[in-house]
Amino acid sequence: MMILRNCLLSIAFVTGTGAFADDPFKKSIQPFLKTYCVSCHGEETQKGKIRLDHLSSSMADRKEAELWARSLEAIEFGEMPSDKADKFPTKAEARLVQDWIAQSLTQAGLKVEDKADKEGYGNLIPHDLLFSPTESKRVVDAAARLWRISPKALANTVRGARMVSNPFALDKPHGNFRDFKGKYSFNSLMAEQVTELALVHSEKEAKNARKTIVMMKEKGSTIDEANREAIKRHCHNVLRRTPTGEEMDVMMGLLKKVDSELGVPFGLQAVYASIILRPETLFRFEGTEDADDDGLVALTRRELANSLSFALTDLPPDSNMLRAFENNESSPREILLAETRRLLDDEKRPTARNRLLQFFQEYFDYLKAEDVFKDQIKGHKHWAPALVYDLNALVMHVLKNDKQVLKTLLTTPEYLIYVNSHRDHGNPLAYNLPPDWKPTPKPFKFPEDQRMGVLTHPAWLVAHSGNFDNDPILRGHWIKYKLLGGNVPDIPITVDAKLPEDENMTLRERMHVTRAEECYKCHSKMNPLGLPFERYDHFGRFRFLELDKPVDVTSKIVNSGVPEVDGEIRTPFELIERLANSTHCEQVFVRYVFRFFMGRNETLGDAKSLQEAHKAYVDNDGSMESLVLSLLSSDSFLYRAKPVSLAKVSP
Amino acid sequence: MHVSRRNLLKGLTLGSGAMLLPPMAQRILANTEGKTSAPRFVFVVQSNGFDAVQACPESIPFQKYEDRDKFEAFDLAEHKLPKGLAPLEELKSKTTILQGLSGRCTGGGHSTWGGCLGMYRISGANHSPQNVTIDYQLGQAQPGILPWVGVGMASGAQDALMNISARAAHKSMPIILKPEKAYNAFFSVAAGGDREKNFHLKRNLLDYMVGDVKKTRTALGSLAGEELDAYLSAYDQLAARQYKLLANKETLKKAAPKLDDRFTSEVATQRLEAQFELATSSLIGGLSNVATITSAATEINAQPYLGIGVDLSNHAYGHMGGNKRDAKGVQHYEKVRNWLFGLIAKMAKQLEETPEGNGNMLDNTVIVYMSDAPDTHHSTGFEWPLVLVGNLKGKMKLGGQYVNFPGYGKAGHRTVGCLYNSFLRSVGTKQETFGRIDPDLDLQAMQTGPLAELMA
Repeated sequence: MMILRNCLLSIAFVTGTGAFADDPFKKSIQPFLKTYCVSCHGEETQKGKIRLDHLSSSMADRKEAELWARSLEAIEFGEMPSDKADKFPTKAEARLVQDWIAQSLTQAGLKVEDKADKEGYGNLIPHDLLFSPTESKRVVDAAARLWRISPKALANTVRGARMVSNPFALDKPHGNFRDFKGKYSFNSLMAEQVTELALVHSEKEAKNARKTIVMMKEKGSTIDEANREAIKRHCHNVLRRTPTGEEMDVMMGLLKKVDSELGVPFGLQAVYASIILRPETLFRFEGTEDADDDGLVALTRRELANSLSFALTDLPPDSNMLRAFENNESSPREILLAETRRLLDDEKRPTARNRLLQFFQEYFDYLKAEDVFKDQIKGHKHWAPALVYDLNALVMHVLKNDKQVLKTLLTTPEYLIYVNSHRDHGNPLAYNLPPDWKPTPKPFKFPEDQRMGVLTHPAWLVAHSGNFDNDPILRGHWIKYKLLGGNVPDIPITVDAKLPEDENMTLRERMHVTRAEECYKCHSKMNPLGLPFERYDHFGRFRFLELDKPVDVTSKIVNSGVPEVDGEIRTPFELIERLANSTHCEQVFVRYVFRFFMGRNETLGDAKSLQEAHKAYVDNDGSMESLVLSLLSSDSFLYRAKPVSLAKVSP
Repeated sequence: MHVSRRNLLKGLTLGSGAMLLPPMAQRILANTEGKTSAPRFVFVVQSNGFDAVQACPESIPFQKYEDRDKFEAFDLAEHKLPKGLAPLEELKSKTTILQGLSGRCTGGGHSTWGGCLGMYRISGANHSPQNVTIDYQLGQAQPGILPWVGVGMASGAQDALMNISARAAHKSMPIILKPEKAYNAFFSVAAGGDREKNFHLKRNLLDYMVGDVKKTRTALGSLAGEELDAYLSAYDQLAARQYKLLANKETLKKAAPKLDDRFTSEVATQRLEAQFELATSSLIGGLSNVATITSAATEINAQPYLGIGVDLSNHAYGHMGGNKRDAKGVQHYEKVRNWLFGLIAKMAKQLEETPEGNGNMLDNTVIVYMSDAPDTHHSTGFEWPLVLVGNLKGKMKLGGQYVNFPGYGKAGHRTVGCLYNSFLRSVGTKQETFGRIDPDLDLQAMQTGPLAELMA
């Protein structure tokens, strides 16, 4: 019953019913059900009280429609067939059934919720299609959008204003990226905080401007001329452009109104604040030009300069970049490549290189190690910031070599530990090193059966652990999403997602509760991937024993969606090597880089950009810089789809 | 500070005819003539759980929810309140302790965020509200000058807490965490000096921004989308609020709390004291009929109560007492709750001392104390202990009772959503269910309609 009720949440009933041809149902759908579903959900067995063998192709019956919707979700999220099944459908077979169900539900007047463009659901776009040569002929189909500037960019805009809490603050990623399309809607609190910041900043600026205004007046300018000049300067500083005549008149109107009501220099302060609060300052605009013959909207050169600058830094485009984009002799793509290179190679101001580090922090999601509260225990001192520091150093080290970046990060036995000094915090203990271990600026090489890359680094292990235990589910979830490109359904509301507390049982033993039938259909997608990491305790220390018993780190991966990863697993290192050697996993990584830099999920219209980016990565020996260069000069970066219809404009 | 409504009205009516009074003052005037005013609600939300054992007077045998088979009500006059609730001893006849209502639809955990007021489960990806929360819905039904006021305390220096209260799905309302900022937001219109000048500067700026953003919206057409709409709507709301406050300047002038060091204190507990005064003033002055006050809501890895001598983190004492029901942590829970109930008692007494109609303001105000984590530190939502202070005369019958509802799933069991249905009835909204439905409970018998036992 629970499953049926849950499915009600994912479809919204509209009106009417429709008829559709029976042919595809008989030809493909019924055979699919018979082959993959009916053995568990048929006349003889009805697991989860679900029976699918007598389903008809009509969606007129509400209960049947609910069951179809539930089946669609189960196939889409890879929940079914369960890993205990004998046979698994190919992706093409599964997709055919998914499309048929979705289409039939729609034809019957039932609305199927599409989550593919929502944060955290990017993997719903079929991977094999995104990397199929036939799909690379598609054109970009993502529409233009507004994108709020980052918290740091806001801080840069109101530099000097006291900012206790940044209204644009971004959440810690928790599995996804911090800055993402539609993640943060603008609300009245933000409006109030930004307004106050703008007022504080402009108070100081307006007072400074008064001195210039007085000087200009002394030299014979009228008060209006002097005020206009002061406004013009502020526009140059904040908007990096000259205001139009009409804009200037409106701002002068505000200045005079406020001055007459509250006195000088409140008028100038109000105008200065209003410039900071313009949508143009706080949002990244794009796609304001008309569509071309192919129905694509090319970003203007100014928009490209903005987009590129905000993709790689937290500053609006600098003068060099603005000048570069004004050069009509070079194509926008050439300028994008040259400017991306310039920013990435800038050693004096490594802001763009830091953006690459930020990507890995959010992709591997290890910053949250600092949020996992742990009690101090005897013989160990846990200090998460030191672990995070070390992993940052490792990532930067790998980025510097820029060769086989993903593979190296997943498999390197060489760690940078204690690079600066965390001596007081007993950091070596987390790596099973003696407390008096001497720090070295060189990478430290672990034996191959002890540590291997980021997934066995204490920072990642702690970030994917609980307060008192490891969290194999979270670790498996990470691998499922970030390397295998898979999906796991959301937790149903009635699930009491907690393990029993028993000090005499190992974590693996306590996890037996997740093997209950209704749990394991989802947990089978995560637990086997996370359990090999039981080789480490929840502080990230290597171990052979748990509760005086040898730790079981074996596992069996079934139907992961990536055949080269499936099979028996004896050690975490075996699993890591399979993942690191998989082209599929490498492509999934490229998808995540895409999402980070574009701030949105990929669509099938991005197939060409993704394939080119992956090729650039492979052709250049796994170079992150080549991958980013390719993405930031791709069609997906340069073009937007034509808007479908005009939105209602309030008067 | 004690503001008498009669005195307040005297001030208001001097030199101005009743016809010229702002609507709120007219309503207050009506109240003094014996008519009923809109019911008022205060939601006090504290983090870290409220274990059912700690809500039970020692002289009443505690039953686990699994063992509670029938509805029972005990007269509190015959029992001493549990230690954490001791400051309510004098107000016992006005106090109702509710045990056994469940909130499984929120999922429980360290914190349900807005789930405690919205009865929904937040998503794993963010804490965005899934629907309107009860506090805002009640406020909108019969609003004061503003529909709702949200203030609170966090251990850190952040300005506001989002995702506790919401006016709709994904439309969170800010809980202002800095008393001075809350004062400026609600009372600066009548503060005189620079504060008042800044109010008008902001008003002018907001007016201008609404026009400016509308222009950009028009110019961008379909490109603007939801983001710019949200931006425009945010400025629209703010600008409208400034005018509402301006229109009620005189009322606010009389109601404003007195600013002191606690409004800018670095000690979190002092800041919450100031916030309680601000909320009390807001109710008495008619700024709003609903206030939400948070005490370190959602905070686990923090030490918000250093100011009253609790130097452990919520997490630390949560594990010592809120989880396994051993005695080590309970004393810290009791100390923290004792202090907070001291503030609640002070607020209740101020309302009690303020005459209204044929009685006083507390007769028509309910202060609801709850934790954002239903029961224990690692909460499950099988039960959600609540303490109610005050009454809604003529609509509900509250006060002087310790009430046990049958345990989860047993005949006669009810949910927190039903309590919210009851509140909604008292403001004239007939809503059958509130929030998300728990699929494991009978919809009709356990989740629909108000709590008949508590209705007048």
